[in-house]
Amino acid sequence: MIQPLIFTEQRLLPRTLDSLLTIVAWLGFGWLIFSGLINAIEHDPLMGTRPFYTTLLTLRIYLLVAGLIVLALVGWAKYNQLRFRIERRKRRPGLEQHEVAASFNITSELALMMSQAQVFTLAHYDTGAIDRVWMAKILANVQSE
Amino acid sequence: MTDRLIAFLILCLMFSFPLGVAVVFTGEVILDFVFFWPLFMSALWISGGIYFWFHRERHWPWGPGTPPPVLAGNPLISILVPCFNEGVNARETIEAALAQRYENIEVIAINDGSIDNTAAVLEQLASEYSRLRVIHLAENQGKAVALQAGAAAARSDFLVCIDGDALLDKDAAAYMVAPLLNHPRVGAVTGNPRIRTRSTLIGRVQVGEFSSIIGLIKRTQRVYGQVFTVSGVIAAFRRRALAEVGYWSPDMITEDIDISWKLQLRHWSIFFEPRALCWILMPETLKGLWKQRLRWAQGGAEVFIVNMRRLWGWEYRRMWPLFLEFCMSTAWAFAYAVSIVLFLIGRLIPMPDSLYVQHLFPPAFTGLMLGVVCLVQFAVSLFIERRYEKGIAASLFWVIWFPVVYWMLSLFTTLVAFPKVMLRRKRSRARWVSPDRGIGRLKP
Repeated sequence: MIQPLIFTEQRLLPRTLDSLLTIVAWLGFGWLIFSGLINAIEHDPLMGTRPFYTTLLTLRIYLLVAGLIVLALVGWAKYNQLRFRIERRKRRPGLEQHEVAASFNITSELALMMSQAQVFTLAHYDTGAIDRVWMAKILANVQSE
Repeated sequence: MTDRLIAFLILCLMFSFPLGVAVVFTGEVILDFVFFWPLFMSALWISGGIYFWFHRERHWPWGPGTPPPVLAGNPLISILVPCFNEGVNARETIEAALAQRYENIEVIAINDGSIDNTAAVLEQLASEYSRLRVIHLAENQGKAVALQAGAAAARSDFLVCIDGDALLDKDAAAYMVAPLLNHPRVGAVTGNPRIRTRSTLIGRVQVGEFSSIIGLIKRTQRVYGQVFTVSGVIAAFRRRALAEVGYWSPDMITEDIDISWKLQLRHWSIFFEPRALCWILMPETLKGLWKQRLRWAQGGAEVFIVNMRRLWGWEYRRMWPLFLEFCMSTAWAFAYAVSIVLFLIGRLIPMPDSLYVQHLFPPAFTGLMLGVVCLVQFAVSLFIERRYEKGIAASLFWVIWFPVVYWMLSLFTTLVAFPKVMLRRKRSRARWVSPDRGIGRLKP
C-alpha cells in the first residue's frame, strides 16, 4: 500500500473549524499587540513619564540582555573553533569481531554467526543479555564463499 | 538509598524554592522568572540558529541536483530498524531505507517480539531484498535491547538507527555517516525529523514546533558543543563509541537521551546534520501527544537523577550548562505552578501583600514581547529550514498555537514526570509505549 508522504485533513468541516479557531487566535494576538502599543503611546502628559519612554527603556534592557546572550554563545563557539582547529585525535578503526563479541559478552563464534545470518531468531536472558541464536538463513555472499 | 534521599530533597526544593522567593521577595519576582525564562531562551535559540546557519549551513550544497555526499573508502553502513507491531509501516520504512542513493548499505530489521504480522511482512521483504537482514527476538525486550541486537549483528561500525515507522530520505544515511568518518571525536550524529501527520491542529502545531523549537535548539546546542539528546527516530552512531559506554541502557525510558549523555560524558561529540531528513509519524490527538511528551519528560528526569552526583568532576564541566538548563526549565515549571497556587489562594483568602499574584498571564508589554519573540523565532527557523521542505511557510498560519501548546505541555509534563521519577523506588525494563501515530493509523 503506497502512502502519501504528508497526511492532511481532506474533509471540509474540520478544516474550516480549525481555520476559524486559528483566525480567532490571531485576532487575539493582534489585540494584544494593539493594546500594548496603545497603552505605550496614548497617555496624558500631565500624569508623569509617558509609558512610551519607560517601554523604550525596558526594550533597551531586553535587547541588552539578548546581546549579552549572543556574545556569550558566539564567544564560546569561536573559542572552541580556535581550541580544536587542529584535530589531535586519530580515527580509531571499527570494532574487530572479537571486540564486538567481548562488548556483548558473547563468544566470537556467536558473534560471527550473527554477522553472517540474513534471517535468525535471538533469545535473551532476563537481564537483556544475548543468550543464543537460531539461524534460519545465511547471507548469500557468505554462502558463496 | 542515598540517591533516593537526594532525589526527595531536590523534589522538596523544587516546590519550596519558589515559595521561599515569594516570601522573601514577592510573588511578582517568581512571575518575572516565569515570563523572562522563555523570553531569553528564545533569544538564545534564535542567535544559535542564525550563527549555525551563517557559519556552517549556508555553505552546504543542497537541492535536487546535489549529488549524494562522497564517503571516503566507500564504507558499509548498517541501518538498524527496531520494529514492534509495525506490520502496517514496515514495508514503506524498509523500502525507503533500501532506496538510499549510497549503495553500500545493509538494512537490519529487528522484530522485537511483535504480536501483529510484522514477522511475516519482514520475512517476505527479506525474500525480496538481499540487502535486508531480519532478526526476530524470541520475546519482546524493548527498544534498547532490540538496538543492541542489531548492533551485535551489524557488519559495519557505522550504525544509522531509525524507528520502524520512519522514512529515510534518499541521501540521509550518507549524510549521517559523513561526520563519523571525517571527525574522529564524533560518536553520534542526530538527523532532521520532518513530520508527516498534519491532519489535525495538534499535528500541524508540531510542524512549527519541530522547525522553530527543536531545530533551533539542536543548532544552538551544536554551536555550544554539547547536545541534550539525539533524536531517537533518526540517529547514527560509531559502534566503538557505543561499546565504550555499554550501548543503550535497557532500563531508561528514553534510550536516546541516556545514550547522548553517556557518550558525551566519555568525551565523544554529537553532531547535528540538518540535511539528513527523515519523515516521521507523530501523535495527532491531545492524549497521544500528552503520553509522548510525558515519556520525554520522564526521560529527562531519569538522566537528571542518574547523573546528578557524578557530574561534578572538572572533566565533565562542558555538560554543566546542559544540566543547568534542565534544572532551570524544571524550576520554571514549578515556579509557574506555585504562582498559579498563590493566585488561586489569593482569590479565596487574605494573604500578606508580598504573596499576592495579580495575574497569571503576562501583562500587556511582556505578553507582547513574548508573542513577538515567538514569531521572530518562527520566522528565523522558516528562513533556515525552507530549503529542506517546500511550502513550509504555509505552516506559519498555524504557528499561533505553538508557543502556548509548547510551554503549557512543558509545564504540565514536568510537574507530573519529575515527582514521578524522583519518588520511584527502582527503574524497571523500559518496554515500547507507542502513542498514536496519526489519525489515519488509529484503530476505530
